[in-house]
Amino acid sequence: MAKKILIVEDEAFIAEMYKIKFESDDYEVILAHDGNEGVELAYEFLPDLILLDLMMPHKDGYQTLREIRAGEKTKALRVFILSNLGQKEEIDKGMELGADGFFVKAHLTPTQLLEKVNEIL
Amino acid sequence: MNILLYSILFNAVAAYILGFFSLRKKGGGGIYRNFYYLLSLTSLVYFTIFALQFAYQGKSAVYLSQLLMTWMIILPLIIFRAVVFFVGKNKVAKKQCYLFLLIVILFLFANVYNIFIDDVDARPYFRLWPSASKYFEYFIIYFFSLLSYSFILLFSKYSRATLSVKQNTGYAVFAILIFYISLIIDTYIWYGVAIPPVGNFILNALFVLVFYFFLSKRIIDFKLVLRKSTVTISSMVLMFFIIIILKYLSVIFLQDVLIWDDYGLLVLAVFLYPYIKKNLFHFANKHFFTSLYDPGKVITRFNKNLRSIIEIDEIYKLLDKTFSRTFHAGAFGILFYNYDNKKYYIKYNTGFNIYSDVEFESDTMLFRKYIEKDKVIIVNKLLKDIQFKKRKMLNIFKHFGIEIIIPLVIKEKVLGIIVLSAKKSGDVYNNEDIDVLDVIGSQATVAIDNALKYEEIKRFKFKLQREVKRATQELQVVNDELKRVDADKTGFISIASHQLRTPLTVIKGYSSMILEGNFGKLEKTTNDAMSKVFTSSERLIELVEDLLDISRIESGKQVYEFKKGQLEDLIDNIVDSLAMSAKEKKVDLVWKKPKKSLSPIEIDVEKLRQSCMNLIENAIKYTSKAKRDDAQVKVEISEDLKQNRIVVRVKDNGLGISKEDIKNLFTKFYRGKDKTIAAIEGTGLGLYIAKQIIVKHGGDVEVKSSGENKGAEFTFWIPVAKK
Repeated sequence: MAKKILIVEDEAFIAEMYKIKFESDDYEVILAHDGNEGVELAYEFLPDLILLDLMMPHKDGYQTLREIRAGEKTKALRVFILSNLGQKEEIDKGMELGADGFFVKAHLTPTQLLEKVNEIL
Repeated sequence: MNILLYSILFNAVAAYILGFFSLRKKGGGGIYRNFYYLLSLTSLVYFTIFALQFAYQGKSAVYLSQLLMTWMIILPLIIFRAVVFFVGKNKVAKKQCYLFLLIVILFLFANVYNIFIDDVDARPYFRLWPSASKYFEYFIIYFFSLLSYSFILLFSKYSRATLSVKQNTGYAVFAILIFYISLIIDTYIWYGVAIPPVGNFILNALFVLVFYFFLSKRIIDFKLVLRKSTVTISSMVLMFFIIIILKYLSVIFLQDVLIWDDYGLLVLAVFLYPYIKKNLFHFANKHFFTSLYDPGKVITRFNKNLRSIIEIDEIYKLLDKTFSRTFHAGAFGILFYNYDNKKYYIKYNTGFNIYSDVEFESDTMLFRKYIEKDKVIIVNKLLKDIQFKKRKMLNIFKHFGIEIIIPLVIKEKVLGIIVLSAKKSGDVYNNEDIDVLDVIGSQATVAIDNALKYEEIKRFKFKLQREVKRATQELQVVNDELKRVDADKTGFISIASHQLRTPLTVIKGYSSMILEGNFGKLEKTTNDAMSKVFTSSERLIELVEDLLDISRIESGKQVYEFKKGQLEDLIDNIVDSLAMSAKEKKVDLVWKKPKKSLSPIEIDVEKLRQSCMNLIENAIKYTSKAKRDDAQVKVEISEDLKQNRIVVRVKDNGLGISKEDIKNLFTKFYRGKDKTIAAIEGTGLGLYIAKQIIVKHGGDVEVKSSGENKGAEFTFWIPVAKK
C-alpha cells in the first residue's frame, strides 16, 4: 500500500510541485491548504508523514503542530517542518514543539527532498 | 511702725517704681506718660500720709494735711485725663478737661486757705489724721463725681471694644475699680468712722499683681531699672555735692551777691545734671554693671551650639533663642538680600507683624554706608541723623517695630540682615549689647553661609539624582523603542527572506524537475537555458541567505555557542565534502590532516564551518576558472606555538587578486573589478561573513596574492583555547 504524505502548504504552486514529485515516486499525497485543514486531514488520514509549512493564514505551522501533538490519535505522527523560514530560533521552536525534523524549502530541490523522505520512510 | 504703715509705705514706693517704668516705656502713644502722672501722684499721696504719721501735732501736721489735700484735688483730674487719653477720639471729653482744670484750680486756691480741714487728731488706726470741715463735702462731691464720670467713660469703651482691645481695657477698668473702692473706704476716716483701712491693703494687692504681671511677661528688665535708678540717684547726689561746695565757696568769696549766685548755681545745676549722669552711666557701665549678662559667656555658648548645626533652620532658631534670652527682644527676623533686584525678602520671622512675602527695597545710601560695611544699625538713633531721617527703608523698618539691623556680610558679599525689635522692657540697646550683636552677627554669617552652601550641595545632589533618574527613564524609553524597532527589523528581514524564498523555491523546484526530465525529455538548447534558470535561482537563494546572515551579524542577533573543539577535524570534514565538487572542476584539492592532534580551540562548529567552507570553495571556484592543467588548492593547518594559535592556510594557483581588490576584499558587496572575476557567480558577501565569523572566534584572516593569475593565499588563525 502506498505510503501517505500530508503536505500542509498554503502556496498552491509549491504544493502542486511537491505533489507531482512525490506521486511520481508512488506516494499518496494529500494536500491541506492551511493549518485548520491540516489538523483535520491529519486526523482523518493519519498519514505516514506530514510536511508542515510554518507561515500560513488562519493557523500557522507552530499552532498546527501543537494541535497535532495534542490529539490522541495524531500525537505520534511523523511531522517534518518544510518551510522557507530557517533561522535558528525558528528551527529551535519547531523542534521544541515536537517536530521530527526541519527542512528549508529553498535549500532543496524536490528531488533532494524526495531522497530525504525516502530515507525517513 | 505697725502693719498699716508698711502697707502705706509699700503703696508709695510701688507707685513710684511703676511710675518710673511707665516713664521709661516707649510706644503706646503717650499712654505711659499718663500712667506716670497718675502713679507719681498716687505715690505722693501715700508718702504724705506716711509722713503725716510722724509729724508733730499742730502746725506741721496741718501743713502735711494741706499737702495731702493738694494731691487729692489733682488726682481725679489726672485720672480723667488718663481715661480720656485711653478712650481716645473724644473731643467733648477733651474740652471737659479744661473745665475740670478750672475747678481744680478753684479747689487748690481754697486749699491754700485751709478750708477743708478742721484739725488733725488721733484715729482708731492712725496716729494722726485730718478731720473734715463742713466744706470737705464739696470736695467729696467733686472727687467722686469726676471719678465716676471717668469710670463710666472707660466702661462704655470697654463694652464697645473689639476683642483684642477689650482685654487691655478690662485691665484698666479693673484697676480703676480697685482704686475707686479703696478710696471710698479710706474716705470714712476723715469723719472718724472706725472702719479698718482695707483700701490700702487692696491697693497693695493690686500693685503686687501688676508687678507679677510685668515680671512674668518680662515687660520690665528689673536689673536694668535698678542699675539706672542707682545711677540717677548717684548723679543727683553728686550734683548736689558739687552745688553745695560751689555755694560754700560763693559764700566765702562773694559775700555781696547772694540772690544772683543762687540763680547762677541753679542754671549750672540744670546744665550739669545730664553731663554728670551720662558720664556716671558710662563709668558704671564699664566698672560695675557688666553682670546683666556675661557677653563672653553668651558668645561662647552661641559658638558652641553653632558648631553642632548644619541645617539653616536650626541656625535661625539658635539665633532667635540667643537674642530672646540675652536681650529679651520682642521679635526677631532674618532677611536675605537679592543683588539682582536689590530687595530684601523674609527668611525667618518670629514676633514681627509682617506677611512672609513682603519684600523690602534696599536703600542705596544705607547699604553703602552701613550694611556693606558690616555696621550694626540702631534704627531710632540713625533716624535722628539728618542724612537718614527721610530714608524710606528706615522708616518702613521703624513702622514694623524694627530697632536693630545687623548686616550679614561675608567676603564683601551681603547675605542679608538680622532684624530685632526693641527689648520687651522698653530699654534701649546699649553699646555693650551692640558689640555682642556684632560678634554674634559675624559668627552667624559664617554659619549661614556654610549652611547655604550645604543646602545648595544637597539641592544639587537631589537635582542630580532626579536628573539621572529622568535620563535613565528616557534612556529606557529610547531603549525600548530601539528594541521594538530592532525586533521589527529582524522580523522584517526574516519575513522578507521568507517571501523571497517562496517564489525562488518554485523556480528552483520546477527548473530542477524540468532538468531532471520529470516533464519529458528536453532539447539541448532548452536544457541549457533551463540550466541557467536553475543556477540563477540558486544564486538568488544564496544571496538571500547571505543577506539574512549579515542582518543577523549587524544587529548582534547572531548567537554563538562556543565549545572546545579541534579545528583540524572541522577542516578534514569540509575538505571531504568538497572533494567531489573539486574533482568535477578539475582542481587538485590537497589536504593532509596532522597526525598529532593540535591544541583545541573555542569553536562554534556550524558558523566556522560556513566560514572555512566559503574560503575553500572560493579557492576551488577561482582556480577552476583559471583553466590551468595544474590547478591546485592546498589546505594546510599548523599550530603557532609562539602566538599560541592555530593557523589555516588556503593556497591556490588560480586567478589571483589585484592589489586594489585586496584592500576591499572583505568589505560588503565587493566583487573583483576584473571582468573574469565579476563574471563568476557570487554575492560579494561571502568573504565579509567569513571574516566576521573568524573575528568572533578571536582570530583574523588575511590574504596575499602576487598578482593576477598568480594565485592567492588566504590565511586565518584562531587562538588556542585557554586551559
